[in-house]
Amino acid sequence: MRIKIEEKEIETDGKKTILELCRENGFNIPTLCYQEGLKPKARCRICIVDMNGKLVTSCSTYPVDGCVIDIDSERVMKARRMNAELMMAEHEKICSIDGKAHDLCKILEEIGLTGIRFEPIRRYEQDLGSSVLRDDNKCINCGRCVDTCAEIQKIFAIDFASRGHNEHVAPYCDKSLGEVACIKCGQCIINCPVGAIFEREHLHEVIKVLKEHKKHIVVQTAPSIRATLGEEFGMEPGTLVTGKMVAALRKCGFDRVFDVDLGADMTIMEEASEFLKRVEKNGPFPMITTCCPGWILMMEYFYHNLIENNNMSTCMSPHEMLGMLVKNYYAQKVGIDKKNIVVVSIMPCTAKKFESTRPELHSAVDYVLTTRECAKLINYFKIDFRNLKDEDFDPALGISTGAGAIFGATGGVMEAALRTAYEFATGKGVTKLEFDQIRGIEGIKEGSIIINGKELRFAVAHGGANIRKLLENKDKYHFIEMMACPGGCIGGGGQPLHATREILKKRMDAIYQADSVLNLRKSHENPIVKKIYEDCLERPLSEKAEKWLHTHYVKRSEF
Amino acid sequence: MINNVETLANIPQAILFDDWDASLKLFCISGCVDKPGVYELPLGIKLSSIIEKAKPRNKPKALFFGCFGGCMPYKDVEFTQENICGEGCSHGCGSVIVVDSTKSIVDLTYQIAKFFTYESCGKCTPCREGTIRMLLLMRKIKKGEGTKKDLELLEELGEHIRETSLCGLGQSASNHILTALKHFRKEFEERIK
Repeated sequence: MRIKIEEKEIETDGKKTILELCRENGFNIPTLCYQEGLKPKARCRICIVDMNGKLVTSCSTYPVDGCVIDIDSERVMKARRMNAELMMAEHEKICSIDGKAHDLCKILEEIGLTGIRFEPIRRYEQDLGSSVLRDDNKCINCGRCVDTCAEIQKIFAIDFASRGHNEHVAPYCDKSLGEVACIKCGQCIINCPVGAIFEREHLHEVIKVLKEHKKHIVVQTAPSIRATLGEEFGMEPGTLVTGKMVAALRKCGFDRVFDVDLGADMTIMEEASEFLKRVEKNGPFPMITTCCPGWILMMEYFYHNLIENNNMSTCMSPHEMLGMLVKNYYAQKVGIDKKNIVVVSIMPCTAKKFESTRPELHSAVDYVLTTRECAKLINYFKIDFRNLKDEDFDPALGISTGAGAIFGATGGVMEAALRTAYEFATGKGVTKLEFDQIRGIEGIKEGSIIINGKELRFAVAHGGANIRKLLENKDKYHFIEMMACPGGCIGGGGQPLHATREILKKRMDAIYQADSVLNLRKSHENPIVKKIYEDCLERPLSEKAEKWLHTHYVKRSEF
Repeated sequence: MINNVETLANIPQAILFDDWDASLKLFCISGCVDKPGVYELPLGIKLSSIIEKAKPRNKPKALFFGCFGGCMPYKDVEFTQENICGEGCSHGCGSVIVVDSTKSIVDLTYQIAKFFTYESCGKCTPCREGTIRMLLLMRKIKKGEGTKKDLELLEELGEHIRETSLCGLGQSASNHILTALKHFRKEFEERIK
């Protein structure tokens, strides 16, 4: 069929919505509730267009044959303005996040809303009960968080409560997020267009520590931060900023800048050994990775049988391992009392904030900052990030391998573990270091490897919905990697807001690039890892390693 | 899905009886009448004969066609789509509220606005936020604190909700106010400052 958008004739098969057609043809239509890849809900009514004289929402309407579509007539703009005005009336004007990142602010500018004729009437208490916080006063009921939680993550922690004007987003019975089965993945944060959901900030505590500077302050950065931090300073997605990041953190006043990639290498040593032990004993299979605290929480809430059957690896997450090593191994080496060391982790993750408060971990990490907080910290100290000269991590615990670097993308943990496990078991290196089957952005990836004549099947899932799907037939596999956020850590809840699939791909390419340029690409080749085992841990899974680097899990009730 | 009781009740009649009269319709008559109730009457009869059944107390001033239908000044015309919808409202599903000069149109529209604010499910912006705004404006006008600007805003909001809401409820949520403003603007203007 032929349709006309703003005088431009377009041929279409009628299977695309007006919004999709407009975007393909370079017409910009503002949207709020629309999320790429999910079913349109048509809640916000900002994307309204005029089709044959009738106002329709472009996200949910299919064009009819021969129709004429007007996307910015005065009538359309007036309708958009009124809807924005109605939403803004309730939206608290003080925004917690940077104006530039604020979808609603951008839209207001686009459609030219100037004054608001209505007074706010609703007032809600803030929910400050966990590491993911909510302020309903800012909420505009677009439902993106609800859709994300239900459709992408399948956690169903929040939904709409009440009706009519009293409708608001809440966990069941208006409880706090800390009291319900929320996995703290933070996907709702990065999808919220108005900043009504946000992380518990440790920023000001860290600034205070840095300013007082009474202790030895160590910062460690996660593998994925180097591929995303640049975005917060207006750089292209997928720009690697490792050197600038280290330089900036040093300028902020941290005494040592370490690389969590080393922690990742340690994780691989432990995890690969654990896996081989299971191969020897023939079970229990599958073994499932435990680097992702969001996934751990999901398992603790919904999949108790994995704890009962000992399917979970017992390894701590990489930054907890490194924190432990900083406070025990490094402190001893440099002769500082571990009470006088502060460890700050920079993580792409809001669940890590929760993780560091787990009692069973006795966490060595004092503060966890997200990528966004890290950018705020750098801005706070007025550092010109873009023009910094590259610097290297501190060598004491800063040498890492490519295997640690790829932890930031989905499939990375698996790939790194396989590189090491294969060599441990066979004594030979893998012929090809890149496991292409488990790279890329598909939801569930699988493959197999033959170790000593035995075929071992492995699978990788990212995003809650894919995890649930994969767990339905988990018994097929020997080794499974789970990441709660779509794309792995590069799409984590602490990353720069509003990442599209394109951006995720670019970040992922950057991570793999970081791996490919390194000389050391297998965890067991890392000289520091070797030294740590020589100096104190003896060998992977030794008694001391078990005590320092392994943990256990608790069953949590869904209700 | 069919979920109207009247429709369901008619299905067996239509199947079982050859002489089923399709023009018979249930009318729900209420308001300033002595015998409010449900009456079965043929479509297309005069409005006066519909209202007579329920024994109106005084001469009617206006008719509201349910909460959804909007209102018109009382005229003795036939009850057909053209006659009623020509007045700027729809005839709804046969519910007629009789209003005589003892009652204020402003008070009644306020009550209906309350109904819509309660019934809005909250999914789409114009209905969720718009109905409460209309109610607040109506309350202001009812109390005598409204201004001319409020009337204009009320009209603008009404048009907006009708044009951009997601479902039938939202699209009819402002019918009563828009038609009342069209036909009985005087009563509103008397109430404002």
